[in-house]
Amino acid sequence: MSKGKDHREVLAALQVLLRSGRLSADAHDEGTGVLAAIASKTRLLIAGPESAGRDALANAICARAMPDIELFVADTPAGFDPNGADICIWCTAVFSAAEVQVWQPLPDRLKRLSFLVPVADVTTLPERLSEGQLADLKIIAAKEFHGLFPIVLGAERGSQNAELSSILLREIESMVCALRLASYEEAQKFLASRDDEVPMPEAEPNTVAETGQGSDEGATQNAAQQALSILAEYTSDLAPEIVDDDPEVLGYILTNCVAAADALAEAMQAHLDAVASHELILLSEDARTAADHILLLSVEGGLTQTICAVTTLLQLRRELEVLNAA
Amino acid sequence: MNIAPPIAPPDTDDGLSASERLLKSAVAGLDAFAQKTQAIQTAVGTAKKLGDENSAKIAAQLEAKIEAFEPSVTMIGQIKSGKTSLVNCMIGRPDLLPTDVNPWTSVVTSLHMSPEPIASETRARFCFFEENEWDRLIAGGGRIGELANRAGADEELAKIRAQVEQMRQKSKLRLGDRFELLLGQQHEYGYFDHELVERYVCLGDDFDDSASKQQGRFADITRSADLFFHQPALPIRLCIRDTPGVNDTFMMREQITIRAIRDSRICVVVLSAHQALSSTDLALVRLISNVKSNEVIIFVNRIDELSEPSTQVVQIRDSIIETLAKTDGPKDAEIIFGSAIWAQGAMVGSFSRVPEASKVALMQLVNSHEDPSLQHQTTRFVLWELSGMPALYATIASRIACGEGQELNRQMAVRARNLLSGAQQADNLKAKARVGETPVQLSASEINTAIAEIEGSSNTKLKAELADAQTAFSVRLTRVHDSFLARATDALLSHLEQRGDGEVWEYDPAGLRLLLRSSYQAYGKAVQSAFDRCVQQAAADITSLYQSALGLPSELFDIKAPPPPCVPPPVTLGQTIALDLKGTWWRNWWYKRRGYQSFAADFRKLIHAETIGVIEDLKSQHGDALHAKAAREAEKFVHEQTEILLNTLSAPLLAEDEVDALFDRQALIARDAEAQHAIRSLEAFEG
Repeated sequence: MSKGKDHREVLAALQVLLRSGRLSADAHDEGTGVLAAIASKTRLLIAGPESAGRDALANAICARAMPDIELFVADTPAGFDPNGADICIWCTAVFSAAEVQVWQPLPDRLKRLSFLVPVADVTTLPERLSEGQLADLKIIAAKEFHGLFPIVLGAERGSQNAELSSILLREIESMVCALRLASYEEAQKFLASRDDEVPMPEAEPNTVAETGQGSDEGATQNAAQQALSILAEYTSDLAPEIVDDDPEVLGYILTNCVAAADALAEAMQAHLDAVASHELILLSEDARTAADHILLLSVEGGLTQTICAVTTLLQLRRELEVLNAA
Repeated sequence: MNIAPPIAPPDTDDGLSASERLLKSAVAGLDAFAQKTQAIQTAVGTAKKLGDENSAKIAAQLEAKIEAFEPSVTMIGQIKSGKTSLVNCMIGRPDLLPTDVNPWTSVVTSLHMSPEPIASETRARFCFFEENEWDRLIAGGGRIGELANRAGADEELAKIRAQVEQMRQKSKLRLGDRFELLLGQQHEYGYFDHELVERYVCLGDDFDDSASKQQGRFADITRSADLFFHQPALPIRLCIRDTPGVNDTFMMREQITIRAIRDSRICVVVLSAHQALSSTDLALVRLISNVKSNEVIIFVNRIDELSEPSTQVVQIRDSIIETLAKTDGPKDAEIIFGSAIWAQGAMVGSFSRVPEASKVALMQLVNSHEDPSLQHQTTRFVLWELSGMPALYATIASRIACGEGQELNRQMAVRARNLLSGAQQADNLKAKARVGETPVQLSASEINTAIAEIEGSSNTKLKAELADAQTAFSVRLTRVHDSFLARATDALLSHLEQRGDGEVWEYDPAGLRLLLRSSYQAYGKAVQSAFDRCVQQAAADITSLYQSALGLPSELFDIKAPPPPCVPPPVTLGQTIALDLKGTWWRNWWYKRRGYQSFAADFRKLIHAETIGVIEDLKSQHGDALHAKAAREAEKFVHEQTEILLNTLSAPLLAEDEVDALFDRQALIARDAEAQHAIRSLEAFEG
């Protein structure tokens, strides 16, 4: 976990440097950009024509509870807006001429980090993912995308076709990781280049004794860190190979969500009993409400409910990360 | 199997009848508990003997509390499960409660059995409905009327009102025009028999055809019957509570049954072997799923009517376990199989009373039983053994001994131990005073001030902590309610968006019950911790006052704190709400709505009105009651200990001749040994 800690330290050092008022206007702007990159999530855009398996893929990513990503699903072409996206996943049946037209004007920066994903199900598989078809798509992908990753929906678990989906998910994960690492390295470089200007810790304004807020902030951060590590314990259990309608898999995920949310709410309550800061009170209430909501979803059961439960946990994690980084 | 003579000659001179002897053998599991309680009673007796007049008063209170201990068992079940026949056998009076004349019980009948002859003059007490309860039925049509009204089911409501009116007219005919003046009253008798009980608890469908004009005369308006009698077969008091079946026209009985379950720790669910727990018994499962699993016992009655009981019993057990697992029922509930008819046969000692088919079933069971020695036993023994009665009472005995019995013993042992320590100290102080020492080093006013401070601060602190816990509980319940309403409404809207309103949608309220139950448990824990903190602090403060008043080293004297009050199960959560009923009225409600927004708004309103009652009940009946109990018990503990302290410290002020009479050296040593012995005997009860 040392990387996570370093990440936080770098983030904190950047914030201090930017607040110190010692940077030139240009350097400040640059630093603000670097800070935004390291502090914000990787924005993952899922696009493509309707019924091309967009939602199924979005559900699978949600259920996998990948850290540090923000997910958008865009109706294409109507709601397609690539601005601000870090990675784009283009789900398609055949990547028609109309789709090519939408895709081509995009900046190379985004194209280099995007995937072309032809989607088939068990019945359309022979036609859509035939060798000839794949060969054509491969040529387009080599020019226009980071890579080509076909997936088959509804494939039996453990089969070769099901494996395609997990390869894609793993690829997305490593891409997100690479982006996080890049922004972290950039931030480190920025800090190193201004080594002389980084203030010493004692120069920080508003010490604990003066404001009395420091201990509360520390307590909130401790609570957020502990909560994040609790969530991390459960995350691997929220990531089955791919979500389908198998009630057993859904039940398993829901049970884990309930356990994670409950452990989180309990931990927050324990922190609250020790230090009752305003932020902690809100956080504890959020955690409890989320746990209640997830429990109700788990009683209902079902795919939509499972996705909703995982999303609720992810939202909670985002809140915690913001608090932890603050 | 030998066919024994109808009534076996008594082989011991214990004065018990044959049926009482059977009962005595079944309740033998309670003997060990009774012996333990007896040990505490002996220690309390020692404290009474060694202490002064004031200590004797406290000891007498402890004795009275032990004496009054009456664990109770509530019997609930499907209609026609043979519950009342089973109850009759459990009390050793196979013919007391009416079971055969239009057999459906409408009253909670509490049968109070005492090992000692009854001293009080009242042997039977029948209470009538309170006016407000009756009004709720007459004006609103009971729970079901309330529901129909909320759902706008006018036709159903009209039907319910007509039924209620018909019932009211019948009551008028039975009891006279001014029968409503009887409401809120009670009738007491110095005796009871079968006929008297029938008059109050047996409801006839049509009283004109009943065998006697008196039968069921008051049954419409009777809500509870309490019968008190001597049962020499029992080593301790015991109450068996027979409840009405859970499904009735106006759903009035559910509330009555819930109250009865709340009044007992142990709950026996009686099922009929013909219709062992199925999804139609969800109301029954809901009632028991909020009671602790190990305090629920399932008795499957009427196995004598099965064609092949030895194999069918296994299938029935599996099916019950499966239903309980599916419906979130108690997981580890004990399941016992038996037959009240066989128990009756054994009690009256007549095999001829057992129907032919039932005899065949008995033989089938005996021949395939894992214990081959059964085949060589007397008929009476076999009937009794396979009736399930010994197994039922063995389980009840073990639940009492590990549950409320253990709690009573722990609490009484702590209180007796503190009383004995006080008496011991008092002896020391008197002896010291006798030789001219001044053992008490604080003045009376200093002691009084310190006591007032301890009492005041303990009281204030506990009150504040309990108030915090209660506020948090109340806030939590409101949140849970809001979350549930929001989620259920969302689920409704998403159904409407995906499937439209042509398909009737249902929503399971199990999530609400789960959340309410866990909120209540968290509150219960908070109350118990507040109690623990308060009494432990008070015990430490009083101990330290003893030490500074008497200059005692700390290891020489201490006061033990009592265990916290137990948190009663939230049985009120078992009450049926609109979402549990998936019948006609819900379909009517559904098809009457027009437009999604109308669905959502009306649904929220309806479910809010339906569920707010459950939440209020949980808050007041359970939450407030637990709060009051914790406050009362803590206050009583602190007060009792300060009283003992004052008695002890005033011991040296006794008149000199009284001290002379009490003490020579030998007497002092003997008294100390006696107190030590009693204190040691109580150590086994420390939790």
